[in-house]
Amino acid sequence: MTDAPLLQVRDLSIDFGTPRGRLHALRGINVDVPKGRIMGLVGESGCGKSTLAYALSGLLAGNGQVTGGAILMDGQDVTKMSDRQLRDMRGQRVSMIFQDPMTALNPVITIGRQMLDIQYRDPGTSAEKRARAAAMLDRVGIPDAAAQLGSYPHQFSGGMRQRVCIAMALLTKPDLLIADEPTTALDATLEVQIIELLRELQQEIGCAIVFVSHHLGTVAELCDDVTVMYAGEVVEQGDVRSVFHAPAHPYTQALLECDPARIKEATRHLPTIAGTLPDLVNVPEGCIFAPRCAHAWDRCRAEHPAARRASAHHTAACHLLDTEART
Amino acid sequence: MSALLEVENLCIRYPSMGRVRAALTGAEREFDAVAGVSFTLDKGQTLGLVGESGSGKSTVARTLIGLKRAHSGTIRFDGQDITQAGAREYARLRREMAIMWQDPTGSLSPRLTVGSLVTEPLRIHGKGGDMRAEATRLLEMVGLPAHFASRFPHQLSGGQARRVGVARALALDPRLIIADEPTAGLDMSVQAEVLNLLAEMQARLGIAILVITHNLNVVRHITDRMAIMYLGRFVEQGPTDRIWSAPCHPYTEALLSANPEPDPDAARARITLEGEMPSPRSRPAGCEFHGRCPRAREICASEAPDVSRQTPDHAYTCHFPVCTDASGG
Repeated sequence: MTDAPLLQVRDLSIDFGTPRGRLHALRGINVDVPKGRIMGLVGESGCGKSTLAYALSGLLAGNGQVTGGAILMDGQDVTKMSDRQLRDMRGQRVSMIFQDPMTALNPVITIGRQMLDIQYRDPGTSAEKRARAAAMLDRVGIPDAAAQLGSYPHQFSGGMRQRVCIAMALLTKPDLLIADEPTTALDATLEVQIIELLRELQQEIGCAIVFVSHHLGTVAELCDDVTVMYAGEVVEQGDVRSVFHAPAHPYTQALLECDPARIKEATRHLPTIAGTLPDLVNVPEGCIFAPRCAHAWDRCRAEHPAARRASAHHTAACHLLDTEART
Repeated sequence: MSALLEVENLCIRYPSMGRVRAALTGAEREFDAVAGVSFTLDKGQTLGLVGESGSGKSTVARTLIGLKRAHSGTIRFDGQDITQAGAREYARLRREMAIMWQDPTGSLSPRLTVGSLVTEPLRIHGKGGDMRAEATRLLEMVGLPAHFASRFPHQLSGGQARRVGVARALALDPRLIIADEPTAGLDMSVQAEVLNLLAEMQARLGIAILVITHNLNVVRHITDRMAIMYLGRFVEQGPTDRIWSAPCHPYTEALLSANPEPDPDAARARITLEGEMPSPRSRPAGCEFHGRCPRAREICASEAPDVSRQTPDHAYTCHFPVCTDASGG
């Protein structure tokens, strides 16, 4: 794939206005998502992964403000789009699946009506659109799909509702699907089903996916690339194999170590990451992870590290990688 | 005898419709949310109750602490049947059992300070003394600085709220802690902190813990035994490491396989179960798992399997268990 990535996030910074002052939620984010690739966005609560996902589709909360950088969808800057342009983009080229499948659907409108409404821009009669909706429901594994078009969201279980949301998101064959923790609210055996479904549909439709998750196991299973975020910055990114096999940033290393699924022997003492998230109203100087990092030295507290090549397929923002300066 | 909690054939029912409708339709008004569950928890041991939403695991917890009445069966705490105990007797027994609720912040009253929250159990059970000193002692035990006593719940992070929950549970020096989803909604590193804290408290104070969770990783590292629930029944029960290494029930095997390692090259033998858990209002005939079971044969649809034992302390209910494959059975 030699052409430009579908989605390019360039040096993006976002502030939120809070009573305590401006909270610098995202700082200097760079992410590329090529066509047809699945990008995992991981990190712990408060790292900004959901803020980034919402910003990608222009759904930033009212007190959020882009203070710098750009989000380029096929070369067009999402942050500068008018409401009308955003509306054209969403649902057509960019779709989103949310964490909670109950609140993502309108409870007083039937599934069928909602699936017709989402095709308002597409050509065809409503009978054709209805048929398309039924076919899509059938595709995502809703039994007796045509009859279910008359059902309301509360008549479905959580897993089925998430399938309906996926059907709606993919109905317009978007170029980019943003999935914000789509399996977090589901049980383990349903999570497996949804992940499998997402992978199959992605191959059929060929869309790119930004998959937001805190679950490293799922990311390892589903994604091609991964971006690890910490406290509003990208600390490491690249090919999922390189990042998970040879994590270069101490935060990524700690995060992987903490995952109990990785610990083979049963233990009564699990590894943790000491310390807490920094205050993002008064962002400290230097590396954002330095106060919690076991390897930090003077330079880490004074100078913000740039992203450096960690292997052929991934980069990390850590002074440890600056081998020349380290002697 | 070292058993602290003995539950035998516990059934818990919920109403599914009003009396009038039941009378008119002649249908059964109540259904079994928990349908005959038996287990023993020894002093100072940890038992994990694992199951997906709707399996009845939280209902068991609510019944143990008296928020829901058992329909039948017995619950013996320290040899005494609490389903038969009078109010005064129950209050005395209840002091020895503490619960950590599922929602860490939601279970703390927003108008009380952390200090009064952690000492509230002492006041309820009429224990006097220096509450301020008690609060400091309890907070220190769970690794929170003493000045947190003046904070309100909304000023706490998820992990800190959990610690307050642990401190509250420890206040009356209980012999049993019931932890309902102790790490739900927490980040990995914070989850590990809470689990380490529970393990440490247990080692130091010899408390028995009943952990209720859907997260197998939680069970693996802190429990001695585990029981897997499906539709209000145990499908498998035994020592945690045994079940982990050689599960017998196909449902257990599927759950274990749904617990992926963060390694893109890990061999993935994921077992995808078809469909979802049926409703306990209309239980399937035969083995209740047969509709989703990859190993089901004809007999499974008509005949419910009996309890079999792999070893004396490892029981399961399945006609075609996974564990006999390896031994050529």
